[in-house]
Amino acid sequence: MRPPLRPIVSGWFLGVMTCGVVALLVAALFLSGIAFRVGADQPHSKLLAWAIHRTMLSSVRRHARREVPRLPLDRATLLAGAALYEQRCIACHGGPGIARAYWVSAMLPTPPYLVDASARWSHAELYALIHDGVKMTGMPAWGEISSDREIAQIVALIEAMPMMTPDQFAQLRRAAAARRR
Amino acid sequence: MTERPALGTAHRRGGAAWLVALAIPVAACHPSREQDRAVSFTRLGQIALTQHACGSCHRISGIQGADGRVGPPLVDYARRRMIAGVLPNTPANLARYLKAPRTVVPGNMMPQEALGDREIQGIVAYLGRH
Repeated sequence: MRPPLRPIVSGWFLGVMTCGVVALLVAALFLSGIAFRVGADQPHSKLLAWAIHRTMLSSVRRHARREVPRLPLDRATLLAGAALYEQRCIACHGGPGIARAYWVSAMLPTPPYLVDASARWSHAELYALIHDGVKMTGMPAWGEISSDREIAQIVALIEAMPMMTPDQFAQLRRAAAARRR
Repeated sequence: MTERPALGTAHRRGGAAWLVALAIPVAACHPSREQDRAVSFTRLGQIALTQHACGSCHRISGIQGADGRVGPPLVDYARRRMIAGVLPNTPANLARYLKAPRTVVPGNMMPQEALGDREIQGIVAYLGRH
């Protein structure tokens, strides 16, 4: 004996309606600010922090372009990269032996140090991170105001960082500053 | 007549239970603030290790994304004998090292992050238990 069709259809319809109402209620909880506090003085829950970070990693990997410029790691490139890094990056990301600005630990998410960045990201991914920026982190889309060459110079400096001692990095900063004057 | 108010109270209690049930997960999403004196040093240390980006260079148990390979891993830190290869691993020495790493090891890659005294105590407490 097959069950009659009508109760199944109406039951299914009722179920969908219930899910819809529950979803609307949950959405209302978030949109009204009851279920979510935007204040950056308290960390995310572990699950949310993991989900956001996972999404960021996957998105960068998926959207990194295949062909991006790569400059030789010579002195001219590193000097140009260091000059840009000094203006745009060092306050938030620090450098070998150089701390970030003191207020940066109050940011959520807080920007990472980059000595390890070239082990975590491919060349194209680093380029994408700097060129496109990262939503909801404070990372600007530097490509909006820079040439491709400038972005490549910053990438080159970051990729050279693990090959430098803190003293060599300090020397490079001084040389870049002297050249700007 | 006498039963009606009782029913109303039960209703109100039900409403209160609902609110509490709702508030628990909401509160759980927002662990206590860093400056709150009621927060344990261990928790404070966990937040400080995250907010000072220690995980960019160190591997640390219980800190999300702390898988850096620049400095030594801080996993199983409590059983470590020396700090940075030069200081015996005591809480006081760790506090001293965190305050100014480059005065302990000149030319050190480890930056001098601006750490408050409570944050340093917190990091010492956290690493002492992990």
